[in-house]
Amino acid sequence: MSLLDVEDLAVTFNTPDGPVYAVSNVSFSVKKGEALGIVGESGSGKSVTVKSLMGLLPRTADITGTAEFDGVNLFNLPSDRKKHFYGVDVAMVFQNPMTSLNPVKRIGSQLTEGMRYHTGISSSDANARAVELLDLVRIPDASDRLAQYPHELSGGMRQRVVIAMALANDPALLIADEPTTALDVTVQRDILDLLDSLRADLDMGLVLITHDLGVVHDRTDNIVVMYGGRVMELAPTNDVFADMEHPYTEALYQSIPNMSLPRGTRLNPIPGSPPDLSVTPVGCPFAPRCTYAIDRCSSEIPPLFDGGARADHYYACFVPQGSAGES
Amino acid sequence: MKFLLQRLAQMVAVVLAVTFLCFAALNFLGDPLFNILGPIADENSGEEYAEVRAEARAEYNLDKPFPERYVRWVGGMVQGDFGRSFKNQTEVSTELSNRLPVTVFLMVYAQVLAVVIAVPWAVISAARAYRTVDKVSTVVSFGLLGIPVFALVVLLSYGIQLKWDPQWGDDSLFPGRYDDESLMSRLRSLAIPATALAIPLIAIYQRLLRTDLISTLQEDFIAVARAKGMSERHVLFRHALRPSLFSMLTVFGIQTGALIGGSIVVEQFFAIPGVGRALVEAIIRDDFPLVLGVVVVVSVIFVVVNFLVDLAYTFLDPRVKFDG
Repeated sequence: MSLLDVEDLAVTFNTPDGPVYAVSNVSFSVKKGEALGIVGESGSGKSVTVKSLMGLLPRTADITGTAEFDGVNLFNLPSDRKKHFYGVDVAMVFQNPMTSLNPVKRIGSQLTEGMRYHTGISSSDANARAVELLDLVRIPDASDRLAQYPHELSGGMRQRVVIAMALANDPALLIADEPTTALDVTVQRDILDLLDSLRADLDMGLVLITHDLGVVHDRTDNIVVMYGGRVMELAPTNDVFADMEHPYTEALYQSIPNMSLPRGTRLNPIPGSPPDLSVTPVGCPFAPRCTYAIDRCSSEIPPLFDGGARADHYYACFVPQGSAGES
Repeated sequence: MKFLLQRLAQMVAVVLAVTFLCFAALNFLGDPLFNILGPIADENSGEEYAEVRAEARAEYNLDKPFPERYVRWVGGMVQGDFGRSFKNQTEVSTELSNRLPVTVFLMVYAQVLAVVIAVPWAVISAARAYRTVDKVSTVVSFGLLGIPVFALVVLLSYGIQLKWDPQWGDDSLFPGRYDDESLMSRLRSLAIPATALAIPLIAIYQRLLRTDLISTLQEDFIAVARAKGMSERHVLFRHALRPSLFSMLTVFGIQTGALIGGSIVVEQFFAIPGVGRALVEAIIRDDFPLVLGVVVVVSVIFVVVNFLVDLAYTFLDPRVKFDG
């Protein structure tokens, strides 16, 4: 059974210069203990998608569609569940650990405030649990950390603290929005492996957002590829890598630096720039940058086709490049 | 430690510079002897006063050169001896110790009133930024900022006290009764003067804190706190408020100076026996020792408050360290 079911999510920002269509027609689901990767470049709508789920969008955002978590629609939370929902059932880890912690509050107080607010446990119990959590995210000398301030910790350590904070009330679903983008390369893998093992150990659902296909490769069960606020491809991770249907997925994959290629080989960037989301879309958002685009691509928005090698492989393209295109 | 010593030296230097300027101005603008004795200070006013003149010169060191006079005055000042008033021959230090508590009480009263009202008001405005509550608040606070203290004094005293609620006309509200020892009666009798002083401060603090809060609320750690499911009240008061207090605190220190100026007007209007009123009287009567005494007290208060503000930064933000 699905933990989170997002159906036809659309987010439009009403700005003084007119509406901005940040996210349209996005659907996906996450099961208990499973990881979903949302992949896309800047401006693809991946952050807006999860912020809408967390209720973190400004009032100018107009949200339509549904996001059912455990039978309740997140966009219409009943008031009796609202107070102790976020931070308890669903929690989130943010992109930049350098700014995710309040600089004037001690680590301990930031770790325990969520527990104390939602469960009302005593401060000594909360402190004991905080030490437990810091151990869980593998921070050495956990009990000494509670009295420290964020600026006394490195970026990687801070992101571990942010993760520990998110886990405080045993969430069923953890959303991680580019959790390693702001970190050193050497620390990135540690944090990703930590998230992966926490998901398995705690049997959580995990939504992992990234712009790097390499990150989601062996750490997710399903992948959503987003571009211009729309879903380009949605499939089990193995199927995506075995059989890329959408030209954008392919282009994204080819732009990853590959260490096994000979020295001097040039990177393969995607030409052009992301679409202007303030224009009402008429065709595939990727069409202007797509090498395979046909006339139809710029006049008609491709729906999500169900095809490819497996039945649950979806792609929004008239000219699929994988096995669906061959048949 | 090094920082503290540096700051202390700085503070002493500021007070010395201020007093030196005042001392020089008072000595060179007009004849001090004339201000002490009046017409008989004139050498031609008659031999019978020669002895009086000599006595006065000796008492106030007027027979010594100017630099020595200043050094002697500073020497006395650091021992708490500000000399004697020209006019009624009382010790300036006695005069100051009688009047200082009144002014300090009034200033603390006004600052506390301003902070207690401005902080929650700014939080409400920032939480509802650019919406109706905030827009109305902006208009109101700019309005309050635009009224000068002397106009406020008149408005408050005649408006509230006499016209709108004649019952307040009861002179228990008049600060002439300040002598009363009980705190409640002091608070009551100084309510209107303190309000008059507090109103412009409220407006300034509200503006500054609101702006800083709005920018703090854009920070990532606020989104993190919200994602933790903390209540909006908790987010505002426990996460956003403290990192937003810097500008307000800085201006709090600077406004202490303006408050001294304001208290001169207010004390004069309400006949409050404070330092501000003493200063006005002393200036009118060319009573130099008293003027200098008040200047010392006022500059010391200003310098000390601003030093405390600097120290307070380290409590607001653990990243601020003075030594290291």
